[in-house]
Amino acid sequence: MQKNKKWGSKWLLVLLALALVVSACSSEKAEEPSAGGEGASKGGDDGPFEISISLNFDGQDIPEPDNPVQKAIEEYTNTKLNINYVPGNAYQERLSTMIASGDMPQVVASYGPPKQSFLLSAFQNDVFWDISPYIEEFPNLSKLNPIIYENVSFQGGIYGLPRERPLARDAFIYRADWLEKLGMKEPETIDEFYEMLVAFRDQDPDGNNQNDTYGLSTGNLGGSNPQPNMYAVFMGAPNVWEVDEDGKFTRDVFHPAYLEGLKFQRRLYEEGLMHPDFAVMDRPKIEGEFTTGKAGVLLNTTNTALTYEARLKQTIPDAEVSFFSILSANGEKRVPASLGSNGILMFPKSSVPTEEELKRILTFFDKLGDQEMVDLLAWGIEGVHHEIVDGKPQIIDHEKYDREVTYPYKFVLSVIAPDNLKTPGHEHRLVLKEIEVTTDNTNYLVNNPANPLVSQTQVERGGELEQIIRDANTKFIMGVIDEDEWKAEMDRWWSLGGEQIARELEEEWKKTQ
Amino acid sequence: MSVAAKTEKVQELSGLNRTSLLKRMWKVRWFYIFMAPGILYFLIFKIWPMWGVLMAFQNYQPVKGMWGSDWVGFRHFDRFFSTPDFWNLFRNTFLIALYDLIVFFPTTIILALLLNEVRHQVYKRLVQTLVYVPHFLSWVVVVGITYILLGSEGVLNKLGGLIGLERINFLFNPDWFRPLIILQLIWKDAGWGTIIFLAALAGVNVQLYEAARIDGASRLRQVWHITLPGIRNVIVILLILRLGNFLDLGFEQIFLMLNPLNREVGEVFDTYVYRVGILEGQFSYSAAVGLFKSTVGLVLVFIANRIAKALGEEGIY
Repeated sequence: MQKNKKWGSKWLLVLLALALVVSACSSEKAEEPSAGGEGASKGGDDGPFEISISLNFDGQDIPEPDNPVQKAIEEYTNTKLNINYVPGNAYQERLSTMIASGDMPQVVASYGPPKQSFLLSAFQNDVFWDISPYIEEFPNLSKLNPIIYENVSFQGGIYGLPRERPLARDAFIYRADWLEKLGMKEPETIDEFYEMLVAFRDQDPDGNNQNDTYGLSTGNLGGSNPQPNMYAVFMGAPNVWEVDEDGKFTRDVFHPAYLEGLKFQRRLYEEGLMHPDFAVMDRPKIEGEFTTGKAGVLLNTTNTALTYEARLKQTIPDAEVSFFSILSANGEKRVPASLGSNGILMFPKSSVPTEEELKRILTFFDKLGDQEMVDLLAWGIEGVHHEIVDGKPQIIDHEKYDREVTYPYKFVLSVIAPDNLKTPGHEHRLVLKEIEVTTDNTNYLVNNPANPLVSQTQVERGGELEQIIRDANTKFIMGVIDEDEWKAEMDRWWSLGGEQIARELEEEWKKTQ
Repeated sequence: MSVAAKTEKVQELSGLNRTSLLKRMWKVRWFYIFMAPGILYFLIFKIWPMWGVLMAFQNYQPVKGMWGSDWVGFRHFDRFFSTPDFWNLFRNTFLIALYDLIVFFPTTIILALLLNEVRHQVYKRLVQTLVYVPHFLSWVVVVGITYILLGSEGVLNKLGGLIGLERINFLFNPDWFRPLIILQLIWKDAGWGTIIFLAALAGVNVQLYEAARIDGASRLRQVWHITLPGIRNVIVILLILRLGNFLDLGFEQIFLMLNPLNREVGEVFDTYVYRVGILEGQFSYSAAVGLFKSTVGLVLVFIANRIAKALGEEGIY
């Protein structure tokens, strides 16, 4: 008996050691392909060309790499895609460390505005290819609006392919079924918007006889770049920066309308028209409040309305969603313009060593602009995502299409927005509305004159400084500080670096005149 | 004795020492072999990366690498010490660390003493296990629970609302920030912190208690005169070690608890480094801040060790 026991434990040890060795080996193997870079790109002319890509991801489920959509893309472009999806809210952090470590895949998405300090210093130091000399060679890539390229350019170079978006696409997405039930119409002015929120709070729009709904689901979304305040812009404030004929730059916070915008938000907060904990709510939480039927309005981009409707319908089958972009104030319509793209796709020189390989990768993105690929991204696969009705495609299940096509491929991979070029089909009313609203918005654009300019102080300390404004705004909205204290914070921002940023922008601006 | 003779003597002695040292080492060679993995770990993962500290004196650009980046001397330190946030950061970090030391640390000792006094073995084990459990939860979970309990629509405020209390905004009120941090810390890690004390308590000579009981000492007297002195050296050592990490507050915990309304009391060095250094890719600057923090920690350990020795304790070296 004694002997047996000893033998048993010895065998156990041997087994354990073996297990360790085996697991060590297998983990090594698993890591090989993700090393990407140099080894992966040896595709040759005949075999599929391997491309490793790192993308931001805002969908709910990351797709399996062997799904039919990716297969179709790979087959058409003769590539083998190795995509690493990183959740959008963790992307910036990952990106800066990725650049610092120098260990990057062949294609790296930058998320959010392109002028973040670590990106600019990477551009300055030639970490990424300047693709401006090559764009002409590609029939689809060269078709993109030059303004969009210009908005992401830096000191004359273009360090990545922009992902095209409409110039103004922020939207108030609201519960159209609630509004209809309450016998109201879509708000056009700030006051009507306020009335709508009050009605959503008080008049039991979900009809469950309980006081459990409220107006606006909003939150504290991070990011270190200056963002326009929508309400302030509606009321007449500039889009972040304003420049006069002499080149003097003024920040929006010093415009009287900015404070008016904040006061409006403060009123919403005080009257319980938005969530009392909004300051600590992140994107999933904000979306959750809306998609579970608690809040009636949510702020995001026009192209997300359909997704929210699909998610809402899973629990509330009768739910309907609609949206608008502009609320007029003082009889005037204004909407802040953005860059016309959502991040850029960059190509690190360390993992794309030769021009030849760069062109091969650019070819891939160019091919995604071919009609066949455009239709794949816009309609999905026939029989799976769309069916042909009266000779025209129609999406079968929007939720499935979003999950399998929109978030993993259409939004993050296509340079030319597929929706502008796709084969016409039976469109969802929200898609039609999206086209209508974004086209109409172009009549009322308020531009940010600082967009094409670079201020060194903004690059180095912009995020730190912006925090002062963001925190003060939140405190003001929540009634923690009063008007004077808020103004004092803005003065603090100005003296700590805001003034310097304005001066540097002025110098840059004068160079371009 | 002349100086020359003295040196000769010393050399001879040290020579002797060297051979005997090697001999001794050879004798206990197996111990050294056992120690090798630990020593290698420290060499590879702790000592070797230290040269990265140089980054703090450079304008480090990942592309140019360590040797290609420009040297800027103390520029980053200058910037850090002259930033208007510096004293605020320093105060926040220092205060939370201090509360940690004067509230959390004694709590672990008291909890250990309480556990030690429990005579019912099964009950004692059960409680011990239960107080360890929260240690294995991640901070995200702990902060999540806090939000559910203390949010303005949270459980506590709802209960308070039922009996007519006014809503308290625990999460946004700067006054609540530090107490909440310490409470979370106690809930999560106090149990875990008792482990070493309990081990030390087990080593206290039982005969002393017997003697004390015969002399008619009460339970409290026994704790005061036998138990506490018995584990005094362990307490001192743990205290010194803790001082070494004085400014290393749990980044995750504080980062998750931060919001625009409590940032003025909640922003500490670590979260500042993350926000300014990592998110904006200013690696040299973050390295400088990190170096400053470590220096403070090192100085504190030296001072604490000195004091401990002056008070007749063993210290850590």
